[in-house]
Amino acid sequence: MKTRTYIYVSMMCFFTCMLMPSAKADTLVLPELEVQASREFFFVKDNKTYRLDSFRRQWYGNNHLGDLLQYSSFVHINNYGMGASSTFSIRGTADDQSAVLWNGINIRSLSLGSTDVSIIPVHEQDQISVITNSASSIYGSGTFGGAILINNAANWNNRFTLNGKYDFGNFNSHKGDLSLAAGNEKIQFQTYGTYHKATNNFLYYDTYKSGQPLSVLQHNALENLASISNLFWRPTGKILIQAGSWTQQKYKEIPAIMGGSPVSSKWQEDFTTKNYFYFQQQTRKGVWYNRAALVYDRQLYSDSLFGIDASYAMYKLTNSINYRHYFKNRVILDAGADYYYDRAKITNYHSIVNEHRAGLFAGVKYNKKEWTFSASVRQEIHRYRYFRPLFSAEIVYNHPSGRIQTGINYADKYRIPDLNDKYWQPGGNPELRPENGWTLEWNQQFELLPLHHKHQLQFSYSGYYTRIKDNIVWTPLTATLWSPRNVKNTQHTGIEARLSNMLQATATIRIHTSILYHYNHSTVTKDYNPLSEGNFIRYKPQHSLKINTSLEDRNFMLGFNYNYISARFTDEENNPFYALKAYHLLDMFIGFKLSYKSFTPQFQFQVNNLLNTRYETIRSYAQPLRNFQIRILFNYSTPKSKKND
Amino acid sequence: MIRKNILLLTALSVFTLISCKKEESNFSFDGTYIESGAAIVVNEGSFGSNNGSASFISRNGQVSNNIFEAANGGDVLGDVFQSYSRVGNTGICVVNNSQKIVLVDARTFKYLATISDATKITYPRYAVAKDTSRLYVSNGSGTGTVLAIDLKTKTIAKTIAVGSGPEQMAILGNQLFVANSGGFGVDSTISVISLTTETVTNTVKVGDMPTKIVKDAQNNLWILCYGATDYSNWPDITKLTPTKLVKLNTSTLSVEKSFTLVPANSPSYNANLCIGDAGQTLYYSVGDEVFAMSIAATTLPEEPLISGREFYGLNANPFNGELVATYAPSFTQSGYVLRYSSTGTLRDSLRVGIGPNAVIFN
Repeated sequence: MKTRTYIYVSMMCFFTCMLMPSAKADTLVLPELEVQASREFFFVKDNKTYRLDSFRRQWYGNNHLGDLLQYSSFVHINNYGMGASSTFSIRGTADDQSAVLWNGINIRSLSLGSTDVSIIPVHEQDQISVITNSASSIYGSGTFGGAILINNAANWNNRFTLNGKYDFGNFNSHKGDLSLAAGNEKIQFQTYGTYHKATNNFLYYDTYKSGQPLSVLQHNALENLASISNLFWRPTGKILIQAGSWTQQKYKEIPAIMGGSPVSSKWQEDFTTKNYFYFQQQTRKGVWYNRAALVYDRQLYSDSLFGIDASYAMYKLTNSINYRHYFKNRVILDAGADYYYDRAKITNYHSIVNEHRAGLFAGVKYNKKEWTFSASVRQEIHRYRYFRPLFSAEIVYNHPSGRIQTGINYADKYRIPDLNDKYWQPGGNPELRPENGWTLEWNQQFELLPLHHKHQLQFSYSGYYTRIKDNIVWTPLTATLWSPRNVKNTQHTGIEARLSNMLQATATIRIHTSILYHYNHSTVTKDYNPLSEGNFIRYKPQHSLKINTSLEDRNFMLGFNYNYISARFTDEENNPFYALKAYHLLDMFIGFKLSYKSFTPQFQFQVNNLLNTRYETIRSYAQPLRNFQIRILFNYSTPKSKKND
Repeated sequence: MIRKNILLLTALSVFTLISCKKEESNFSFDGTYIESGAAIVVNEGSFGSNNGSASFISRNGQVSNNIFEAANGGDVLGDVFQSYSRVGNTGICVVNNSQKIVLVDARTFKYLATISDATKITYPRYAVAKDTSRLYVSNGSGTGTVLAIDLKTKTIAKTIAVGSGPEQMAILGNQLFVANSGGFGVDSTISVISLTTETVTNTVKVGDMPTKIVKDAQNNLWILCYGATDYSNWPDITKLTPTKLVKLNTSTLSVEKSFTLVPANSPSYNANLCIGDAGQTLYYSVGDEVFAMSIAATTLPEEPLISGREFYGLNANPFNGELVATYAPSFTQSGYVLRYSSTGTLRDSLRVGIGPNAVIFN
């Protein structure tokens, strides 16, 4: 108790000191882009990240983050069915081995360690980036695969913008969105609200029943209400204050799996509110950054058949501070500290869990001509056990022509056991070691054509190798009792390749095509079951191919998305009887836009699963056949308004 | 300390198991799975994955896995294959989490029909047949029922309310005995159902959480009452009420003998029960020890027949006296069937499907 109090008080004092404004005059001109980059972006901006384009976000803007990522990035999505929870995997790692950060806040579940991307709306999120290089290690626990960063940013040119959207489609799906942004050069306010209701009673072929009958999924209704608001204020040119809140409530019926009775008695209700405050102040030679956040998550899972009413309530308080100093010799030093307080009240825990932890971080970046060197070290402080310092380093070379970029990076990584692993009754194991490992990545990016604003052809690839030791696996202690243990080592090797072509055919017509191929070889190297050693990790496809093509004219948009996922094993011994078959999905999108001065109405039509593919991402969970969405949108903005994207 | 011991024992068990001789399948189907001395293995599969499966072990020990899939063009049996029984040439597969009963031709494992009615078949566990026209299925994780199924029409003819969480059953004469385990709660009774009227005629208190029920050579029943368990002080798991082996006199419907296998307030262990030697010898397990006991015994045996291994299922081969145990290392990998002589000597281990819980002999 004393140690915990000491750490807490020390951190608070430290943060309070850090928050004291500097009175020094601002005389040094600092690089604008770097100053504006908060810590999570600062160490990635010199190397490639996958930032999702506006067209893709507009297309999938009415769906959730999982839908967006599965077509537009190398991220693999495991989906429990339409409207149900979705988890994600980066480079063959587990769903709790990669992180999602919203405006710098890690939003993973404290109890499970994973993030349900089906509850993350993507409409009005200004930046969505997938980070896989060494920088992902600075975000703390659970970034073996990488991290997805979702950020809201101010458009200081905006005066008033109002967007509305109504979407309806198959399965009684009705969704409405309204967003408003208003402000001036000093202050900007954005708010967004969405309501979605659907029965999601789609048709599917029950491949687990004899004769594979065409069936209707029952007990799959969804009701989702969310709002996200952000306030940006820059009282002077050197200070930025930002505050935001995301509140969401989701009620979801959980259908029966395929193969049995269609009747289910399960449902789940989630409520979350995430709030943050961000302060940034530029001094003469550096910048202070501070972020504080409070997250409250509540969930109720009910199954009347089994008499289960399980609830959890969790609070996460985080506070982080860092200072970045710009030396004259192009050396930039960034150092800071993170503090986390987690509190969980969960039915299956013996008592309320309170945990405090902290992290100290320092990083350095050096630019010299075409070369950029960066390195960082992070020390986790946790009373639970000692963590060795974690290092990362990166070298990036930009060819003077600006057409070739090469990078290599290395990072130590770790994952603290989630709360269920430690405290679940019975079985929780407080003696678990953290998962630990490292990743090495090589990447190159080529501009295949001379730099030209009308035609850009890019090719990039990454090769990666990740080793993870002491993976936590729930295993039977006795015939009926399970407990997590550090029993598995894994390795993840692969290549991600992307070919992107943008052609400005005429003044108004733009054609964009991207082809993403991912080869992943994720295997078990050591396990308590020797028969699984050398085998592929469950649910990790070896090959995936994603092709997106779109044509945009002034008043017209047309796009196709193709997605191929190879077969996946679902058991540790790679039994072909239980493997999921490879599948192909094709979606089509068409949109029409009109402009009346400041008013822009749009009409969009989308066909999902055009090929009527029968497929599964998780064994036994039904997926819809061909289905439609019709969308009516309007945008009103003042004439001077520009939406930066 | 207890948890460390459990870990150590589990590790030792795994090590010993992988050291055993493993026989891979080289079985070629010769036209029938009904063969004296051969057996069907019930592999539960992993919950929610629809990978419950049946394996076949021939008389000479050859294994064929996934026989339902092989016989039915890749169709799967369902989610959590709980139990298997046979009446005539019909095999009855109770598929728990798919809430259905799948009927197959027991000779070929070709699919015949599915009985499913989600309003009544909510949590099916075990099935026993009176004859080729009447089947009884225990059902329910809380409030329990026994479903009387007309095998001709393949419909539920009657729903009989019993205690909570009904598990194994036995037919003796014109009576059906149902072990009411309590499901996720605690029950301590045996329901006695008249097969003439299909109504509960008696309820007998035996011990907390009766789950396994076997019939001996003298037409009496032996019931394993697991006892209530306290998990709230994890990693210490203790028995709130004792694990008991109870003999029920089926003529007087009274408890004739009661042996305490694990006393109350002591560490909890998994337990199992089967009967062999033509109904003369009981085999029961407590934790990682298996004991053999004559039905005439008045005290529990002191020396185990087998020790150092904790099994998920326990059965006796009525044809050669072998003791056959199942081991499920986890529910995402293959399980094993271990065959022992009647004196407890390990003969071999056979790799089967995921989560094997029983071996049913023809």
